[in-house]
Amino acid sequence: MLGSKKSNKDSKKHKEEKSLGFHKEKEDFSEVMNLDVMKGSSVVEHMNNKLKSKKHHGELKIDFEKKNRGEGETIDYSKIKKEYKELSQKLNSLSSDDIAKLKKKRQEQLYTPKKIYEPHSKGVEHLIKIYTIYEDSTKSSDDIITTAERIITEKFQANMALFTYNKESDSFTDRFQNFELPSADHVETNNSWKKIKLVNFEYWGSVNTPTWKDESFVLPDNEFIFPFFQDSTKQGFIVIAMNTIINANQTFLLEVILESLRGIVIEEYEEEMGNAIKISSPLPTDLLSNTTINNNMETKQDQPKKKKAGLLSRFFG
Amino acid sequence: MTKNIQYFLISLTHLPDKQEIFSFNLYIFNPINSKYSLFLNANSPLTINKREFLRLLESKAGSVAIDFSQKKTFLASTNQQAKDVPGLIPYEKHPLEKAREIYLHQYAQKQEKIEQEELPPFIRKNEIKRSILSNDFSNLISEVRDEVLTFPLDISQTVSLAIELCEELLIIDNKTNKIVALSFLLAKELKITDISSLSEIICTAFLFHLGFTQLNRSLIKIPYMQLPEKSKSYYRRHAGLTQHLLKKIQLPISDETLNSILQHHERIDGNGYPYMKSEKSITLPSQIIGIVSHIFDHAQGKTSGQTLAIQSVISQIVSGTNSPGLEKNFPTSIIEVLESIQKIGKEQLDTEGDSNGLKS
Repeated sequence: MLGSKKSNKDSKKHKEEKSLGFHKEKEDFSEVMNLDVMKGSSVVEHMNNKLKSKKHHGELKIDFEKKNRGEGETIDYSKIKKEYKELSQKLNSLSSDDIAKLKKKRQEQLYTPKKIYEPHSKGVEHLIKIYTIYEDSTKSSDDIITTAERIITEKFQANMALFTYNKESDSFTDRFQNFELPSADHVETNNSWKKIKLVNFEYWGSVNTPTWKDESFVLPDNEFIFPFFQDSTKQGFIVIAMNTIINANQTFLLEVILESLRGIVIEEYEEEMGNAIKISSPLPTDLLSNTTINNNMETKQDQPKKKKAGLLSRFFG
Repeated sequence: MTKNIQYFLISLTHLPDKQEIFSFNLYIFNPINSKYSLFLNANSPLTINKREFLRLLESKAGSVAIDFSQKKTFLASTNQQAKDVPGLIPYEKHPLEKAREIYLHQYAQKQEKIEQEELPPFIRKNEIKRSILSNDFSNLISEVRDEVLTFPLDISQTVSLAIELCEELLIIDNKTNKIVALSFLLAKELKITDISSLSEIICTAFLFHLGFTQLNRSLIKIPYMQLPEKSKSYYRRHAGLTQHLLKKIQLPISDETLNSILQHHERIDGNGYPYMKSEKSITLPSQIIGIVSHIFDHAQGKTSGQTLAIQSVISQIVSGTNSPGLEKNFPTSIIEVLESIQKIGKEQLDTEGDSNGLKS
């Protein structure tokens, strides 16, 4: 009985809507676009409700309940008359200056495209990608470093070297570097890196705050030193060598990515100092495996590294 | 008071003098307070006096307005074209809006296929159950992505960030995305439907553990219960470090999201951290993220060192079983939703699969 009552109510409403000329058997796309704005809730919610109502009543029902369209309402004309009399008085008391200002305001309010909030992720999506590897116990520190390096190469066409503390030599050693020469000769590559390091290492090691070689950002071979400190102890540093001119606004993203390597630097420093956190039993293999839904991410990651030219000449003037 | 966008303005000249009855409602835009109000119901006479008032209104920066949903009725009954009505002239859409239109269109097509029984319907609780049993969350992740990409871009930075993160990251079945998807769908089961709150949950679920990148990585490799006390205290700093990191990079997200990030380890009995908050002083989004991340952590052995099936972890939480490292102090409302999912039998899922009877 309840069902039939509801059905009658729906039918009455249907007729009302139809008489007013806005009943739709099926919404077109542009109308769907308006619905979420009109009702302040997700368009998906609307579609799902619509689907549910079709399932339950065997017909398509558009939910007009939440929205007050004015139809069928009893209007108290004496009240309205009073209100509009007051409004008329107010409108009549407006000066021409006031009216001009109000017209301008109306123009701005009504004919300016709606404000769109452009997302400003500040590179946090890269931090999330890197954290996902941190969290995965099957992934090594090298996986984290190479992921960060890949992002830096992709975004900045830069080379990177990570130095961590070595207790035995009481100095910082190159834990990772991707400084490469056009030559495929592996020996020459290593030798080149050795030469670059020999000339610059002392300066790199002396920098204790994040520092750009060219703070005006006009040189294409700019260089960035990013040290890692923990409780006033230097635990490592990163050297970034740019191959193109970098905009000052982009430095922010670079720092975010480098910052994400802090956990690795701390872990390796503590291990080196004999303070590694003791594992009483190894973690079982991940229950949560990674299954690719589509290969977008992999495609990006599998891109071959681009070799950089001109590095040797830069570091040797 | 309703939003400006619900109406479009017309000129009094759009209402022919000879005509007194109109099949659409007339509203007025009050220039003094920028508000709209109903002026005349459809099919009620627009008398000379009323028309005079509208004339006065127009001369003083006010206007007649029509409900956007009655656009077609207005154009047809007054024999006008949209291009002749200033309030209906379209503006150049933002590229992000255009992209959203495509996502909306795709979503609408998908729904249509479901209506025509070419695709199976997405029954939320059943799909959650299926994912829990199989540990394959790709369907949930994909569904959440499809939905979030239809969110409007004119609400807040947090909503727009949620859209961007889902577009960029919800493409793989990894732990972070499992947490994002399950938190979002549980929130919907808890009747959280407004876009701002859902977006806060999405952003919190993506961001809440980033502080771990600022701590010795061993802290998350070793099960929490096996950490020395000093290390546990470092571990507990991660929520604050996440907040610090996000403020440092000046991520434009709402204070509510930052609060939820900070509170995701607070528990209703007051034994959580960092502020030992209790009961209703803890935000619901942080409680949702808290329980969902704990389910996965515990299943993965990250609390006690012993791995368990996700289904078993949920059963233990729902039944209040005492188990090393298992937390149970979560709101009843969330537990009840989990219980209802847990009760779905395998037979029910199989039956649903059979009854779909999709058209080939």
